[in-house]
Amino acid sequence: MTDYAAAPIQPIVQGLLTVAVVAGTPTPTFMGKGVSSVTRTVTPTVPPDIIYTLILDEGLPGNAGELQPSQLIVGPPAVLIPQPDARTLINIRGSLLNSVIGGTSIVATGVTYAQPTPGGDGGFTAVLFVFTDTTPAAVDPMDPVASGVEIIIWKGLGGGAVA
Amino acid sequence: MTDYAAAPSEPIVQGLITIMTPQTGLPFPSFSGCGVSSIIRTPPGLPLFGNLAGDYLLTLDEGLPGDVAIDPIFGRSFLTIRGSLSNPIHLSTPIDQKSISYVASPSPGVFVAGPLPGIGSNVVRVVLAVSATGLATDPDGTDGSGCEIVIWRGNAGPDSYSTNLTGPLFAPTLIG
Repeated sequence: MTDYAAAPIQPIVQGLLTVAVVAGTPTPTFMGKGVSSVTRTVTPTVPPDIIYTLILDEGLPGNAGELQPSQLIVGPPAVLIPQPDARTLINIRGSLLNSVIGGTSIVATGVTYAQPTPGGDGGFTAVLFVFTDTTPAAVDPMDPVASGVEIIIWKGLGGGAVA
Repeated sequence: MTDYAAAPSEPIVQGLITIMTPQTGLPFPSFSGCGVSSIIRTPPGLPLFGNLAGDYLLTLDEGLPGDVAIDPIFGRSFLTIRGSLSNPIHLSTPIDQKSISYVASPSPGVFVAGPLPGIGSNVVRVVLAVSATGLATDPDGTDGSGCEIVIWRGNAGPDSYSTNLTGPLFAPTLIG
């Protein structure tokens, strides 16, 4: 078989994020590999934010539990490419309780890479997700909006900037 | 370990599209990653009717193995928008339409809609849009912080195999 794999990517996270109401509060669970904890944060802003934070597993080979924070591209102009190596694939699982049976109300997902606790060698150890509907408003990927989120995160290796 | 890789995927492009605004004040796209030799905004007018903002032409790197001008039927890809801190819903994005198409460039600066016979598609077009406005939109500012892109060449299975199935699937077998 011809090897077309010219741009290698290496998965460091794969799993399913689900949310269930526990003691009246939506509580997230991550089932998979590469994540050591998951949290749900609601901020008292207008409109409110609902942010899911996945902390990468420090124990992965190649120190895969963090992402390179930035890469300086020598110009002109000199620019700082943020988290150049991160690639994330998200698929929303449909809900049987959605108005479109088996569908989802989530229309957009924002992915952000962050360093929740400064320290170490400066790598980014958290991946944040925000799901929004057509309102637009932040929503939880749970019934009737959705039935969870499949997540794969890769490290893209090598390459540089072109314009 | 059991090998479950029954449908291998071979990435030919992986990278991050960001929008830069140099001293001229005119935003232009930048690609950081592998497999792309240039990126421009799709110009308006024939033949591609580009939207400028949120509409990009990525030329595949000629130096990649297999002469990666791709046959569109083998193209497999995903696009992920990075969230914006300046959006009213922090770290979210209003971009809810992400599409990819395969075009071609027979010579520098010349583009045609669709692959070229004997060559394939050596250019990938990415369009990002907001359905609420109906406009193609850069993943920049309040609309995002870049767009991740990965393209595979899906090459498992017979190249020319196709079939039309008429349901229901798994119908009971009639005996006798």
